[in-house]
Amino acid sequence: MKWIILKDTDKKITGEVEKISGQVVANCYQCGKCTAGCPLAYAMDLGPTRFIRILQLGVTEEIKKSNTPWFCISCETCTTRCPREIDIAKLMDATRIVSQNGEFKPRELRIAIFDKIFTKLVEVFGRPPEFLLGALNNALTFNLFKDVLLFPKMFIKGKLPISFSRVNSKAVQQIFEKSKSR
Amino acid sequence: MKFAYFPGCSLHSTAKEYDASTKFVCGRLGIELVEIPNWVCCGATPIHRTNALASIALPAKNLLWAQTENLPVAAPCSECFSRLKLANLEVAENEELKKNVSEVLGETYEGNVDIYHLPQVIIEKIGLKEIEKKVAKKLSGLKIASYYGCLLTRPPKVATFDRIEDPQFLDNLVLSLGAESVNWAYKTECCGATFSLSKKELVLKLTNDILQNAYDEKADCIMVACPLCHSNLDLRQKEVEKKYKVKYNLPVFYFTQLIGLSMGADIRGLGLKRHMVSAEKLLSSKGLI
Repeated sequence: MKWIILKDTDKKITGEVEKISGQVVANCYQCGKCTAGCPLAYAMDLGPTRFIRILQLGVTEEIKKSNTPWFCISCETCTTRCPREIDIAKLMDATRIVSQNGEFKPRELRIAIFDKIFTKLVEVFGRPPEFLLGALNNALTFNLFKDVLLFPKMFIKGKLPISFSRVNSKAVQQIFEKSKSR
Repeated sequence: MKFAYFPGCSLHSTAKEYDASTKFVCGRLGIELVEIPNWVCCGATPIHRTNALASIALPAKNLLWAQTENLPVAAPCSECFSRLKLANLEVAENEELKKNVSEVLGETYEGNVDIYHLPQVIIEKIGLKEIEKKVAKKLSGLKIASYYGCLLTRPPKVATFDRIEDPQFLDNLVLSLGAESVNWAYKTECCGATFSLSKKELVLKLTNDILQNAYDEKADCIMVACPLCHSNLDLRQKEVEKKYKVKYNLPVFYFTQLIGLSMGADIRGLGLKRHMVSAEKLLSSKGLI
């Protein structure tokens, strides 16, 4: 069993997570159904149930160092099954957004970098070119040879078009610019 | 029946065969698909993890055209479908969000567009009876595991199909095509979709579990309705086999490819040659090609 010392608790992160997600963490009565059904629980340090508990208590250090929100795959199993109707996947999203807003460093850098690259490509091209997504992701995560054996095969099968057309990019840039200021 | 068609990024790249087979089947069933002009990415998972407002505004940008044309939307990708429908629901429920989204877009989005996932268009709007009438060659003897994945059935306020935990609509379609439906436990488990590039080891484990269960239940192949499911189950299957020292060799079909096949379309036109795990041996052993 893991012990958490209840000193230095602070509800700042919890408050922001609740504001962004529109959820109330106090509604959780810790039944554990979310963790029981979570396909990624095996890889998480806390799992959704315990992660919500530290959000409730405001154990800032534990929130910052947990991989749980980063490993959430947004499959919505927890949200679907929660007897208290908490949108748990949205809580995980909101925690990552709070981190991204500069509150704390992302615990899983590779996932955060991929999300950033994807977002940037949507912003620039309107539709992210898969080829660039793979190449940039490999370069920026220092993993140049990842999937290189798959690329030629995908190319031959016509699954990896190398094109860089921009679609509606002005409108998309406007969406990102205006939504940043909120 | 006319729909605004939102193909999504994958159907123009990794899943061109899904696009081609969709157009073939819809053409045969009298469904007119009008592609939304200049559509942009729905934002997928990375945007809703990084920017809450943009994750609603991006899908809404695409829905504006359907709103003006007064057309329902058909989306073949589970991720696109989920993002589009969620954006519509949230804007309809939340006045403040509607105001913010409209301000970001520079146009008012009302949140009153009907959005359907492609299986819903074909199975619910057209109906299995109509499909059965068009079946020229029954897929007899083919044991198909219908894979629903995550966003085709969840969350229930978005994916309003039949049963959440043990959905049946794809299985019913399999029976209509004259094939056998496999009863298996992993039909709604997640394949790991978005982690395919950022956390591959997690995806390989989830994908292995799904393939293993389909294999154990004696499926000949897997049927999907999402390009992300397809890419993990088909594209990464060889890698999974290598990592876990197993041999599945399970072809993965889009549901539109199997409907097309039963209607007598040729396998090249349906894009079956684009798959990484070849389906030809299986189909010829069953006398289907």
